[in-house]
Amino acid sequence: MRRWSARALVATHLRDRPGASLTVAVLMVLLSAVAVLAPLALTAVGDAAMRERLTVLSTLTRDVIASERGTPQIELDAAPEPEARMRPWEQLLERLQALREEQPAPLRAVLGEPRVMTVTAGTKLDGVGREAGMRLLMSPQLGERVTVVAGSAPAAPPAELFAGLSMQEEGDAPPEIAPVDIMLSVGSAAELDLAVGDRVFVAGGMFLPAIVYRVSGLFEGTDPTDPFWDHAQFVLEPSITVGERGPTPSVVGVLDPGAVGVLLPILFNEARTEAWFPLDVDAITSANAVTVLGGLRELSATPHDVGGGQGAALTGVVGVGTMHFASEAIPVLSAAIGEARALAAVVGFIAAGPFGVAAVVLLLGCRMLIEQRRGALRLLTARGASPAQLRGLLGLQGLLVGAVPAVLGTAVALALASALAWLPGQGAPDPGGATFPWAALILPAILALTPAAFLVIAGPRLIVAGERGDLDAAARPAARRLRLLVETAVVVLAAVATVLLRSRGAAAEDAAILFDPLLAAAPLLLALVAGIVALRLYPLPLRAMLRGFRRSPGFIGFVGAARALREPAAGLAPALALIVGLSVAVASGVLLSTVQQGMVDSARLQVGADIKLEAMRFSDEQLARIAETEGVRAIATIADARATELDVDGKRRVVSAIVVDQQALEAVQPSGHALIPNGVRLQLGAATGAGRAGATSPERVPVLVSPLAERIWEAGAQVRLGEAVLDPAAVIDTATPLGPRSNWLVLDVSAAQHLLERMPAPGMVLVAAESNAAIPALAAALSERLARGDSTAHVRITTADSMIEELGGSASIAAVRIALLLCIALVALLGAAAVVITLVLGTRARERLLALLPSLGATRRSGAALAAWELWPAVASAVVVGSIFGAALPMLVLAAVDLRPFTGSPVQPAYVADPLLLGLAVGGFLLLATLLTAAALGISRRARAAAILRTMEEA
Amino acid sequence: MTPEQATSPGAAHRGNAGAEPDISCVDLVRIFSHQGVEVQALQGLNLRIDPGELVALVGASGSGKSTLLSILSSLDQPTAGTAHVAGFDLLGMTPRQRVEFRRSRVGFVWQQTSRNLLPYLSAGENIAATLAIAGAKHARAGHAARVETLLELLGVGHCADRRPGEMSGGEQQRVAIAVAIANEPRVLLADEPTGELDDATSAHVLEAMREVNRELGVTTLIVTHDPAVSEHVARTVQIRDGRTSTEVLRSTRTDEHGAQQVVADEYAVLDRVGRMQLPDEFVASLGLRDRVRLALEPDHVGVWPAPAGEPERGESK
Repeated sequence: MRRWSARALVATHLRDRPGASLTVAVLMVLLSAVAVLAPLALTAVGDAAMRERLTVLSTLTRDVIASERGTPQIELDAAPEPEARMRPWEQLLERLQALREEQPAPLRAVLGEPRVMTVTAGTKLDGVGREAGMRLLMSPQLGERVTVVAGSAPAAPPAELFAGLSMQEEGDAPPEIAPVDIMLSVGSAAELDLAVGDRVFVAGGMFLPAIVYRVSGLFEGTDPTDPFWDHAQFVLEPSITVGERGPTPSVVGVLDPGAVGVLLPILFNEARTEAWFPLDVDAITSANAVTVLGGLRELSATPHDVGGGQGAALTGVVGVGTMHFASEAIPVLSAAIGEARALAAVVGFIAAGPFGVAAVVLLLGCRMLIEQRRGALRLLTARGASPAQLRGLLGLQGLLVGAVPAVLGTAVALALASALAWLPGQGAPDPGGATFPWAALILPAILALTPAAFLVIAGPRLIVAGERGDLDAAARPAARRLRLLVETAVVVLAAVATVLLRSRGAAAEDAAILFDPLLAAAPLLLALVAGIVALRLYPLPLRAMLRGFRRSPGFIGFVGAARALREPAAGLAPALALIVGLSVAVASGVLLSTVQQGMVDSARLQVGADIKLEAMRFSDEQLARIAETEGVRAIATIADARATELDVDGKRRVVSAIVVDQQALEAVQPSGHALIPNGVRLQLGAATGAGRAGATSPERVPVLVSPLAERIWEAGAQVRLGEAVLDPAAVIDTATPLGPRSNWLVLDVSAAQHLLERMPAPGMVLVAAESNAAIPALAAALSERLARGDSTAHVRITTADSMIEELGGSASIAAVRIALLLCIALVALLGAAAVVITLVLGTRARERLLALLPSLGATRRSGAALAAWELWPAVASAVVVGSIFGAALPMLVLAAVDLRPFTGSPVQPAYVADPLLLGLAVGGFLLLATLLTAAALGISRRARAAAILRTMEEA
Repeated sequence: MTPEQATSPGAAHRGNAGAEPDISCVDLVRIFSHQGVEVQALQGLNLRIDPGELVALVGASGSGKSTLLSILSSLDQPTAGTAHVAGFDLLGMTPRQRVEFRRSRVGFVWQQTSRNLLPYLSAGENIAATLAIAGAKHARAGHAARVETLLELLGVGHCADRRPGEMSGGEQQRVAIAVAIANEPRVLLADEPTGELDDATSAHVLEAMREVNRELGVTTLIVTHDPAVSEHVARTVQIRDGRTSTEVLRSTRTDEHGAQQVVADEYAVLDRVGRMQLPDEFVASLGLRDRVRLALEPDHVGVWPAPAGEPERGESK
């Protein structure tokens, strides 16, 4: 009949007692989902972090710009044919386009079409009835971006415009030059009260007569948000400078680009030609960032030929022949890549632990499966099942428990990733070519086949092993030797990996961003070593306890210790899982607290006091207003004399000279976060080895220096500023309130007054509040007070909290936090699973014992104590070893991973272990273990004594 | 050593005594060693069972009978000596031979149901599983027919769809027997089949085994510690200290009044080289120790204790 066919029987066999199978299956779903999502999440976060850093850049800072004196190349002798008027621009654009084509594909996709313009320096404009200035601009790409609303576009000036000039002789009256057409934006014309047809003129100079400009038309920008206008500044609206004589506008007059040849005499000395490639930062992802950076660096390393080429004659050609490109996106991109790399390293490091534990737990689950099936499979063997049939059954079960859930988990993960737009190709277009992340599926595939492989390979042996294994000692020495071999191999591998990691330091810059296998393998191997050491050591105290219990009257301790020593329920695997898991949890906790504390410290150092105010300059009146604000205890100002020239053994070096008032600064800065280190005095007269007492002329002046500036003093150079010699009193390599400057030295105001030609106006004010609680309110009050005045200058107000928020709000740090917390949770869950499986594997032995005890006179209660004895040696050793090792592991991370991008500090964060966080990790772990022990005992309470005693089997 | 039995069961399928025995152990030795301690479970055991016989192997616990059965069922390997079962040499069997042996030559019935029957399959499914393992060439319909035949033979046809947990002890054991003989083995080995059963049920099960032996001619060896089993079988072999010591053969004789009488004759087992074990009570009552004197008489051999005064073995003169 149907129900007795082989297929039906196999199905019934597989369906029986699904508990263990379900456990393993659930584990598989979870693991494969995480294995697929993690790399995708990492990439997505890397992209988000990169975009975060790059989109902050303004057009001018991120575009790849070159600016050279002169016009686009023009052949002097060539007769100006009408068709060849635009030739210089065309040639320039051609060359730029060719340059763009030469770049590697990812960079090419990120660089936009080249844009060019030529701009003159500003000159005084006459004929408008007020103070005004004008610059002239021409660009072949401007015409398509404007709409002429009045008049017409500027006409081409006649070719012989300056013809009379060359025939001039001394003493002749300057020739009349025909008016040159310009067009103005509506805003500029309105500012100067000009209309179409009006004339303005620029006075002549030594070589040029006065030029009259006629306003031929007025235009409006078609799209004022076009990034072109960020480069062509003040074209649409004039710039207004506020000087002593009131506001002075400066407009930009647009010339006909075809007139570049004709107008050469005007442009020759005064003009700059600017070319730029817009940088599409949205197209930069973590996949192509390294290549893009490399390409940008290459591009900006050498000047590029944009003229007629090497073959062109050197004479007869004037204008820009080569251009040197640069982009301020380069350091930002480099920093972003560093951040992404650090993120990948940290997450990879963290993720390795749970995966190691997961692998162990998975194998434990498979052992549990075999345990469950052991009786049935032994019976089938006795009835004549061949090893092939046995493996077939096991393999089928393995596939059911492994492959099916893995596929399910992968599908769920992919669906989730698709919903979150984490798959490559979604979100921003990926110029590198979006491919399905096949690599991410490798790990789930391995996971899927592991249970089947384990069951098929190890299953038959484990099934047979139970038969009178205690009587046949032939297998024992082999097992011991195998264990020793494996342990030695692991120790050697771990040592090699650690040495490699330390000698290599933080990853090389050209390495791929994602996944550094060494960084993931080393901590896992080290954790395994810790586990091995613990497993070798923990029998020692147990033996001592056993000896002690032997003498005492009670029996629970004795039986428990003896069982723990001689009959470990599930072997060494659960203890190993617990140790690795706990050490990873502790390490993650320490890492998290290190990064967080590093961030807080860095933020405090960068703010420098309770509140930091920054602006272009603070007037005395503003300073008075700040000092008077209620809640302000003290203020200190910091001023930057940019481009201060030092005399270094006769050579000129330029640094930023920062001027502070040491007394005021010390009043404002908390002692732990002071800019000036303890014991250093910068004031005049306090210099070591100072000259005669009472000398008014300072000879040696102490200064603080940045690490970059310290190089000036290399090779014992003598550095002079003004009349004095500067001595570096201390090198400040921590974060400072001085912002992104890297080349600076700090002087006290007493010294600066004598040495600097001009005291700089303060650009930074540090404010100490009267009470910590009032800081936010004080910040708000200051902001309001300063806004009341003449607020053309924007004041930036930072508090420690706002800085922490800024640093901590970045996508990367959030990702690290989430990853660390997830890791701890995952590891705790896996540890709990290991504990449960241990209890289940020990069920048969324990139930036998529990059934035996009442017949010996013991109470039921001893069952709980005995079950606890199965667990607590492993848990205790896990806690001890895991905590110690887990506390030490982050030291390796700090040596191997550059965490500075996270903390915004120039220095690696110091090792910090937050006791609260650690207590949470370890305590939670222990709590779970206890709860699960109790739960497992509740399940195994019903053991029928009589039946079990009589059916005692040799298992 | 097997005397003529006029009315012993299984005669129909028993070839002449000269045929190859189905079970043959010669000087079988099994030593277990663990951390320097050796246990000799079998110390040179001799046993011969001819085709179609139904034999009970009786011994106290620790006598080695479970070890013997493990060896005979190929679940264990002897340390020395020879053992042949159903034409297979148990020493040095390749895995493939072992599979063949278990499938088609030998059937087992253990004491615990959990070792006989898969708990999650019904009685019929258990038998079908055994047939499926052997890859029997019967068509599916053939399977079903065979299952039903077997169950009927053992008197448990009504249990075809019941799981082991839903059957009584006696029914479980009978289904176990049905599973054991599913693939038509030559030899049936049973380890304490009635160990968990009460007397009445035990009798039923033993009767079923006798039926199987009678109808199908399956050579049966029942290992037990229960002496009562020997009342149901014609030949009982006793194991003591890892060796076969005595045999009891039952036969029915007609006495002078014409009534049937079951007579049990006890024999001591003599091995190839003439060794035998004296029963405990003989040894104890005469205080036989170390050395005995033998005397050959025309129709018997006499055994006398050594005279007093002679030095004990182990003492020096």
